[in-house]
Amino acid sequence: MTDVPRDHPDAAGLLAAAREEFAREIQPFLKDDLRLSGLMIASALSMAERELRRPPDGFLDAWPLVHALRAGRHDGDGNLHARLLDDARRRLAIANPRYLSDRV
Amino acid sequence: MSAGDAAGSVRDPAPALARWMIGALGARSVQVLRMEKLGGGAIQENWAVDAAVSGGARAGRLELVLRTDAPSRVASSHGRAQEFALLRAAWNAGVRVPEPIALEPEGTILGKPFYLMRRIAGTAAAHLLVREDRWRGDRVELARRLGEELARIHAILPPGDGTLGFLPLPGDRPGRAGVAALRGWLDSYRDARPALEWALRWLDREAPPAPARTCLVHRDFRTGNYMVDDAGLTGILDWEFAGWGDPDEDIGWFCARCWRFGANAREAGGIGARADFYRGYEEASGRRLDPAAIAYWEVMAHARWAVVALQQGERHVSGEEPSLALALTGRRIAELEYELLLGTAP
Repeated sequence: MTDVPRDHPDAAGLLAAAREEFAREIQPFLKDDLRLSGLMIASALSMAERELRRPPDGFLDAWPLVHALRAGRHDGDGNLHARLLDDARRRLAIANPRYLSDRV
Repeated sequence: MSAGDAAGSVRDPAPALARWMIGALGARSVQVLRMEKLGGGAIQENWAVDAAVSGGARAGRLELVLRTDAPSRVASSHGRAQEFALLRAAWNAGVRVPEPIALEPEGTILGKPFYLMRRIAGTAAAHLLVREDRWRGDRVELARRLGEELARIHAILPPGDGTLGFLPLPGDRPGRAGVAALRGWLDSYRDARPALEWALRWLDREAPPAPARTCLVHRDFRTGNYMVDDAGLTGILDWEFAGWGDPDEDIGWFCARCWRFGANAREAGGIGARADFYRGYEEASGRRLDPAAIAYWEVMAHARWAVVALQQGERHVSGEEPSLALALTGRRIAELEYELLLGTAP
């Protein structure tokens, strides 16, 4: 398998560097409303980084599946439920990994 | 202060507001001393307004909140005139709410409708109220009191006091109507959401029959939408989603995990024990709560919140209202769909 050669650091690496610099040099000085802005920025940077490192694969042809669900053709379908749960867990590992580890 | 933001094109709204208040309050003269935008509220703008009133029943210094539309609104919410009618109905029923003062429904003063209510003390900030180290009030009493207030809201029965005619009556299965509304919005969304649709199908199948007594349902009764000071509850806010329905919907919404702000062990809104909240409700209403029915509405709560998260994310993605906070709310869809699947396993 041959990849197109890329310049480094790649996108995820740049985001990680930005996040670390931000956390070290800027966040400690933020107060009040800006503290919340800082938390949101750090959260968005790390989420984007996780997504770049592990792109979501999701469901192909999701609309036909939705129509079948609404028509009741998957009522009680344990296999589909397990696949949906897997997919949600994968997306949650990107969006909010701590939620996943806190929720037992 | 950037008062120009209040009205779009109007430069300084304070003089026009003061002139209008003279008529609305039956005063001899009104001076607006302060007008300052308050934080929070994705759908509305709230302004602190201090006014000196001479003459009429409201003479004296008035500390008010002016509530009007933000640049964008959620389609399912009422307008300010309807919200004012709901607030007044609640006030008249003895619910602890900010006293409604006056409504400007035409939009001629600020360029959009608004109303005034009395400003109440305390904070509504959920992330502070759920933290042990920040709010040291009596949590047992707060949970009980919130249950009692909710029972008082649910004692308002259709048709209400004659000003609530704009609220439609629900069909014979309010849960199914909720599912239909959420599906309707999802049909227009950019992507299919199979996990959410799985849960909607479950909610459709499991919908309980119409309640024994259809009543006024607040539909956003949760931590973040009431004010608390050191002494306890000071008022229930945010009436824009209220309507006739099943009272258990409000119980489920309040207790749903997605509204505990991380304080998951305190099942009543992240602030107290479910048992204390239920006790306050049951004693005031005389109605025993059915855990299975509440569990259904907790799943519904996650489904509704999931659609709101998509809507808020879309406001950012569409460019209508670029905002990191909205963008991050959009990505909460993952945790909401995860909860929905856990709650609806076959």
